[in-house]
Amino acid sequence: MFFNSYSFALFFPVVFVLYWFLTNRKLATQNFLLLVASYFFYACWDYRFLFLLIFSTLLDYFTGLKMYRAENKNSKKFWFWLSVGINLGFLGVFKYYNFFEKSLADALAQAGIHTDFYTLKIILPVGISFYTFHGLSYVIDIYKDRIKPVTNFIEYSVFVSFFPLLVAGPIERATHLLPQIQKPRVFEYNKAVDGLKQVLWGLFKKMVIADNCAAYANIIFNDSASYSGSTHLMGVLFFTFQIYCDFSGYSDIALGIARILGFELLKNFSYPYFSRDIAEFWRRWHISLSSWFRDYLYIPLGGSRGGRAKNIRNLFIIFIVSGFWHGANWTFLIWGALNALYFLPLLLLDRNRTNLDVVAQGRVLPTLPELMNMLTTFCLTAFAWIFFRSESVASAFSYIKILFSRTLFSMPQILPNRLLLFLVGFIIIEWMGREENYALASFGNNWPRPVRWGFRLALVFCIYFWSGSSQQFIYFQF
Amino acid sequence: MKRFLINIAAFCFLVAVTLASFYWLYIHFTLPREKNTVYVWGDSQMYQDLDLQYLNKNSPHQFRSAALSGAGIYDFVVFSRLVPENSNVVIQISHTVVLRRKTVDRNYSAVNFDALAQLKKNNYSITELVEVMKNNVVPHKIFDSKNNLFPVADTICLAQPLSLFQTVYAERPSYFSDKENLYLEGINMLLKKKCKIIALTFPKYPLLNEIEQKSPFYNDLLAFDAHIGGLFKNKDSIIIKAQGNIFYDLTHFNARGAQQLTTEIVTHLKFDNSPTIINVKPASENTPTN
Repeated sequence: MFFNSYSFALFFPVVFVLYWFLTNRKLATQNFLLLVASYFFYACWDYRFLFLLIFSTLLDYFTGLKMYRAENKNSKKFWFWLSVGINLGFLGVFKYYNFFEKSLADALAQAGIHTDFYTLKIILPVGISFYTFHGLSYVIDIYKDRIKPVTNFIEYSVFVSFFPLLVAGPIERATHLLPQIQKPRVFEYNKAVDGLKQVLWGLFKKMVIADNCAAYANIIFNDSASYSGSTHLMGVLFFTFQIYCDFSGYSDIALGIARILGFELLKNFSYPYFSRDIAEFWRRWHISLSSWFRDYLYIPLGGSRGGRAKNIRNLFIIFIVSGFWHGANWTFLIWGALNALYFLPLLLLDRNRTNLDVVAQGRVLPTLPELMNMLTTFCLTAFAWIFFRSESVASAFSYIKILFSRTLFSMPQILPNRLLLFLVGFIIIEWMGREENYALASFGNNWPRPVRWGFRLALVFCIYFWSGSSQQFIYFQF
Repeated sequence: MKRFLINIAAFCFLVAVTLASFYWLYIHFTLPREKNTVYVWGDSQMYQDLDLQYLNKNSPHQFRSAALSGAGIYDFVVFSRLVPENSNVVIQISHTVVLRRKTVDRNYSAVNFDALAQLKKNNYSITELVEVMKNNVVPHKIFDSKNNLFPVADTICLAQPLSLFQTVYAERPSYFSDKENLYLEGINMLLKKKCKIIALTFPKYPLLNEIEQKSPFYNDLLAFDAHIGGLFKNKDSIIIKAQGNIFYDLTHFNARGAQQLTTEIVTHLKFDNSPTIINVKPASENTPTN
């Protein structure tokens, strides 16, 4: 069940009515409804994997309690590693088995040894990376004595499987979401309207920008040998906007839906393409994952302490692990390593925390240096996306080879005017709203109601008439 | 909460009203209204087998076609509702339209709520109606004067594999009677509007004829022809004679066949108050042997 599907358009109003009208008097009933709705939502993908989700939830719930009640350190450590081991074991088997098996077979074949491994052809359960990370953060926080375990199983299950964030995040923290689950929610008009606006903007990003960009990016990337360098440039541009609008669009919808239900989820994107350097980009892109890696990997590894060599090692570890989290393919590892390389000069020059504010804050336009920095960061990021999008490392390099050939200066073979116009409009709205939570948060709030509604109606019509052919959300595969 | 629900309802109402107005305006602005207009409807056979540009140059009429590949019965229902009274109409009588899966009915005819209600009366489920609506969300220019003929070659192209038709003709579709009914209702609506109708039946490649004749529901297809044919008082036929292969694939003429048919048809197009059905056949020398 996609957020942009007819089935979800039926599912959510039903949940809304039951949630605010039928179960709102008792928190336990309301939470139980959320759990049933979330499990139903997940089962619509594949009911078999629901058992995996329930098992993972039970595991973390009980190990959390066991750790808390452990009488000595060793016992606590045992339960902690049991949970981490099983969680990562599941992730490893479901997500990485095929990759390791193929890589090993390829490596042995290079050495002249032909193997015939038993192929499991494991299917990746939707959202496994996301709910595993939810569970891990909970277990780690209990182990580190940052939080106490939840004693109510329903509340914990809602934390792991809350349907807006179940299949593609944001990756929530127990410290942030659990208290909201544990206290009664009150319907607030302004929040609900804000949530709806964010859903609308998310749908526009996903269905109009991302899906239309995807159509062209797929044509170019799937048959790259037939196109000129300039068309390759368009392909990268389209994919750059596709991945951003696809994922941030999904996050906007998730955040908006949660807000309608009275929850505030972690912000996942903050206008990353307006970043002035790579460090800023990573503070603004997939924030919930970056901060997860920072808190549960980078800092335990020593973070920025312990000398330059250790700093650099930690930097590469976190980026490569992040790449690997995205998928079991060498292309993702290279993408991660490339970003670490981009980051390295900033780290060495201690300039990785210079751009902490919003670009051109309080001004309409950026200064020339700001503009140049934004363009440079955008180009570096877009270049790295080539590896992310390509099927293999070889096809990424052949794409780059054509991109930088002499045909780069020819007229692109694919130049969709309407989509380019949409992109320009989209960038302008994002720029105008860059100081807000999401671009439409205060956009047009001062306009008279007919104009305001007219604008929202126009967005609905754009979605209705110009949405591209439906594509699965990219981040579902992670 | 009350305020929220009222605003949501008001916004949804606004969306619905705007959409309905849009479709109404769209249909009324795109409908050709010249007196000598001939409204054409059919599926890919009508689209590929008639040269509209030639017809527009060589006859006193202006042909505006709603024919497109993959057209379904929904499109015919919309067509029969859109065509103004007393118009000249050319339609195709096609088995494929009746056999084609309900959910594949499409011609970008825009969402027409009356036509959808007519489908509902003929046993379309809500899911099927939603699917039809989805296919028609973005309207296409319905009445067009362009077409695109298939290239001439000595052999036919097997882009539509025989196996596909073997599957189609293997079992009588459950919706066969519903679609037949909609076809009849559409023609009756045109007759009620006092339209002067000419219906065309296009030939198939002999291999496909054979499959059809061996089909377990061949008698139903013959009955369908008889029911439809019963609405047309005049019967006529056109024999296509040409040098060389006239078929592009199993169901369509190539440009040679299409041009030959178009030249012939000019003399057969007499729009009068008695509806006419014209059976198009290839001459025996143009009928390939299997």
